[in-house]
Amino acid sequence: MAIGKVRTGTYGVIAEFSSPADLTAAAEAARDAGYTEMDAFSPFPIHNLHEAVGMKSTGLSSMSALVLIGGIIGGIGGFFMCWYANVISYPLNIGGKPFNSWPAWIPITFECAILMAAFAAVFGMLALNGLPMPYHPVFNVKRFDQASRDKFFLVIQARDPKFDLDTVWKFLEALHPREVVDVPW
Amino acid sequence: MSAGVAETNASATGISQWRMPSLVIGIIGLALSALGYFINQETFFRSWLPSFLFWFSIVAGSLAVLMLQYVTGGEWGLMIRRPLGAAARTMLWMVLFFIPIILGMKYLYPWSNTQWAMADENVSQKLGWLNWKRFLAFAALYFALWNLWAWRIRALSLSFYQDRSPYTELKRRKWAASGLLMIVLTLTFASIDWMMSTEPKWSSTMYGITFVVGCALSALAFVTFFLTRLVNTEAMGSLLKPTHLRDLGNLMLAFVMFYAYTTFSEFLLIWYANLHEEIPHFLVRTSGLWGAVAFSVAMFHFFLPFGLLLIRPIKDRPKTIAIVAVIIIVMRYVALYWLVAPSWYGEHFTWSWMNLTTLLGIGGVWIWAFIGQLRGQTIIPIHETWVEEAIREGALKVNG
Repeated sequence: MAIGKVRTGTYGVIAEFSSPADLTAAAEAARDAGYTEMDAFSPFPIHNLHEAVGMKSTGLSSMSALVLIGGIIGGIGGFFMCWYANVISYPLNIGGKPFNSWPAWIPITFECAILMAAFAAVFGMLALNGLPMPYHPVFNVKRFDQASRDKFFLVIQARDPKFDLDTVWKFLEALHPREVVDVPW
Repeated sequence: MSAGVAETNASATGISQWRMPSLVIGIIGLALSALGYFINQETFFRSWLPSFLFWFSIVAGSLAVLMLQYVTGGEWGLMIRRPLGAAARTMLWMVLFFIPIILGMKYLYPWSNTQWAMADENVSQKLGWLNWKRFLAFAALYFALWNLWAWRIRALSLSFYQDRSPYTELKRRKWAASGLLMIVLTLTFASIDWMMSTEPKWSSTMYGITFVVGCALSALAFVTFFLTRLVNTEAMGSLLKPTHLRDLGNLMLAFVMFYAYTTFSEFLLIWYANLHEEIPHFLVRTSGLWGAVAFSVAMFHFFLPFGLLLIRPIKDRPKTIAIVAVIIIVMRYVALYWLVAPSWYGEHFTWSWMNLTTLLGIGGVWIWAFIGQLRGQTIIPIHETWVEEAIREGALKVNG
């Protein structure tokens, strides 16, 4: 027996396209047709693709919320560290300045805010993407290797509420892909 | 698509209708300022300099951002190249508007009083630099260089339109690259001459770069605001995409942060060193009402636009980014006034109606000249590189 839950059945249906414009257009068509659970794969970043697959580009996404929280914690933490060291822990009279010399702490506050925001961005990105991910169902598709070279893939997942194998298959066929393939788990 | 683009020109956007009203406002403003000259010369000249600096910073910043665009390329600059170029070529008018500063030197620059300057231990050592002959010669040099680059780049753009030769484009890029070096140096020295020397005893090495960054910010805020005025016209409305405004918003965000960085660094170093020669600059500018102005600069020149420009929907929508651009433009004037006026008035906050009339006077005539430069040109330079990239996604949207 394998460790953990073994899933069977269909993960989704994948279609292969030859150009980034075709992929974006297909994703937009799928979004407009009401599909919500889909993913797109490309060898390089494509402008506006994340909007085309229905990801929110406006408002506060969970990612930007994480980075904001990281930045705020870092900023407050950095300032508190300076304040604690200079006012509580080891007050020193430097040039007759008050112990609470906040202007001098702004660079540290700023740097700590950036540092924690960057940590939140990197580790939050990894966590939200579920990385590292040694196995993904799309690897079962033979030609999926091309996704890191010169082909573009759109997958509509079985967990989509509107998912119906035949309908999705026909829908993707109508978008003139190179081929449409089932993706098993 | 491209044929349709080729036929749109500046008059299709209706900007010409703003030309006469702004000239009328400009002339009324200048006439009232002239009246003010006969009432109080000192106030007139001390109102003229901040107003001149405000409009000048848009013109000089436009030239700098235009050259940056020619060096880096990129879709971000395509929609703003025409207004940037038009603003840069109004540098000739800035020569005219500089004349009152020469006439009013004795009211603006304490070092022009040689008797006082010779007697002062500190200033007397700077008279090799702070004297009217060098001041005038360098001002002439700055204006000559700025106009040379503005019009040379214009000429190269025109010949590129004719020959479409990559060598012409390369030549323009070389002019733009050397021009960036030129303009950062000349604006640094110009800010020392025209602004910092209002306080001849004080000096700061951050002053020049703060002014250069402020110029770029002024220009970006101005052209962004200008673009949002055109968004409802058929010609520009079909071309302008949210991503263009987002790019400009991101650039404004970068320059808002850069400005805050240089300004705060200057303050922090002087505050920390606490030297007798350096701190009066900030002591004056943080006391009384000037302190309130300083607080408003920190809040509305940095924190508010910074926060707003982090939010993507605000950058993408013409209405909201126009508000941010206006906040920045207004604060540019406030920051410039806060930087120079306390040099003359000390701790007493001073504001005169002539500040407003000179601002409107120079601005009205300048916008008239700006639209004059823009009139008759296609709204974007359709023969340039990057055009395809800029409109391709628009076309893709239509097909999708």
